[in-house]
Amino acid sequence: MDDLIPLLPKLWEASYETLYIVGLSLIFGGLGGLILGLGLYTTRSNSLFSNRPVFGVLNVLVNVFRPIPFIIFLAAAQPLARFVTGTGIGNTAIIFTLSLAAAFGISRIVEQNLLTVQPGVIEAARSVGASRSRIMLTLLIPEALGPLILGYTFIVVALVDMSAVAGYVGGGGLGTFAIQYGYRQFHPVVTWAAVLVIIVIVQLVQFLGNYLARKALRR
Amino acid sequence: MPLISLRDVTKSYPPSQRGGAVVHAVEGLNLDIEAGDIYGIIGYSGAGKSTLVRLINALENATSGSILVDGDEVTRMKEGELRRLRLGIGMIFQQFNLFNSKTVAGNVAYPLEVAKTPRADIALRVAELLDFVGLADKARNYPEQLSGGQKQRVGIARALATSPRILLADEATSALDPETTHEVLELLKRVNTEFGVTIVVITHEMDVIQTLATKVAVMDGGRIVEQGDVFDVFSKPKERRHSASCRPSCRVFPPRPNSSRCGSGIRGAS
Ligand SMILES: Nc1ncnc2c1ncn2[C@@H]1O[C@H](COP(=O)(O)OP(=O)(O)OP(=O)(O)O)[C@@H](O)[C@H]1O
Ligand SMILES: [Mg+2]
Repeated sequence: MDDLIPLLPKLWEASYETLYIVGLSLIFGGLGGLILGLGLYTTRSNSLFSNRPVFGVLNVLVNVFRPIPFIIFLAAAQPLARFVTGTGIGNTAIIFTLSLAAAFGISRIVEQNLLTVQPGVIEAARSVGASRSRIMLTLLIPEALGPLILGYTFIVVALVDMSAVAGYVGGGGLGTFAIQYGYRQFHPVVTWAAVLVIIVIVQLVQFLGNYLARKALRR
Repeated sequence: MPLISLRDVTKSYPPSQRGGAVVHAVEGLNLDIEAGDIYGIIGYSGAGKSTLVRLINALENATSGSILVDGDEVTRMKEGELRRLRLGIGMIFQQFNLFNSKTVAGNVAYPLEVAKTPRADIALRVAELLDFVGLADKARNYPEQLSGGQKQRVGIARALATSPRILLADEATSALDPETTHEVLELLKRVNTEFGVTIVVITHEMDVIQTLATKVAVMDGGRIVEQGDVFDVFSKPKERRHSASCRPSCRVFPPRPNSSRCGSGIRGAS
């Protein structure tokens, strides 16, 4: 315990950094994943903008990048991060890479959840003359909102997990804190404190996600 | 001039597997539907009935032939024109296909939003329509809180929102019990008499044709094998190949191998 108390300010700072990294990655990656997922959904055959070549390209793209272990992706994408954000290290670089990696994962979750919308519902909207883009924005997303919220909740938890390796590129957050002040200094209590904060964050996120999904699903 | 006119219309689907045969869902079909008709289309499962109605509002594109709706050639329309066409053609479905994320009022309002109707007018029109279908008290409910019959009433209100001249009903009562079916059919009759809406009813139930339709076409294998006034077709079928136990209504169906379905049409096929 005595090991931990002087480190508390650092713990709070690390918690804040984790929330900052995860929050921004969720915004950028979430948006990118939504667009990519809508692309996958709408270009498949018999969908709103069915287009075999485009679907094929998107599908391969996602299949190629999604399974890469994040820590390797982080290293491999560093030149890209440097090119786009101007820096290959620190929180900015990790937010960029995390957003990119998350977008591929999120796109599948979005695609899967959009596929749960009954085709008949889309057809009903087409039959009243709704344009395809209107259907996509005013109908498809609201109809799938409940499962989409749960999917995004799942992703936030995954982002907390992935953000823990930020230390490898000089980023901060609870992962860096646990390794630097806990593991390397032989202070398990310090590591456990970081674990505890992560558990609390994940629980809160899951609780919020469940609550919002319940509201969207009205049950 | 008929309101809806199909000439030599064919709709083919490519084979589902490599080496399979092309499916002609509709083949060389001719059909004229006059304004004010309630036109029944009956036939076995797979006869091409759904494909036929979906060609009328161009949810499906014809492979060949001409489809005139109110004098306009549907098969040559571009996306923008199609959207305008569809505002003039309502459609109701077997599975209702209501928007679960919207309230009853929201469902009925959707076509009006698509048509860019001013907000105040939308509210009035929605109230009017819900009143017409007898669901004024359900405006704020969600679809999952309604019975099947109520859902189809919402479907009808939604289909009528933009005051279309044509209503397409694809097996609109097939998911309903006989009593509810009767209520919905009565409602459709009122849609025809009170608003002068031309209705195309797809069904595999003879009762539906007998209670509702003025004209009927019998479909089989993508073609119309018999058509005319309901009374004529049912009392003087062209093809007299019936067994003694069959009621007259059965005779209009081309006999199928291993098929001795009888009674009130071909329930059970869907
Ligand atoms: N999208 C499609 N792709 C391939 N074949 C199709 C497609 N839609 C319909 N068909 C085929 O076209 C034929 C006619 O189908 P359709 O749905 O029009 O029949 P139906 O008369 O409405 O039958 P039901 O009473 O079962 O609804 C069937 O053989 C069906 O398999
Ligand atoms: Mg059908």
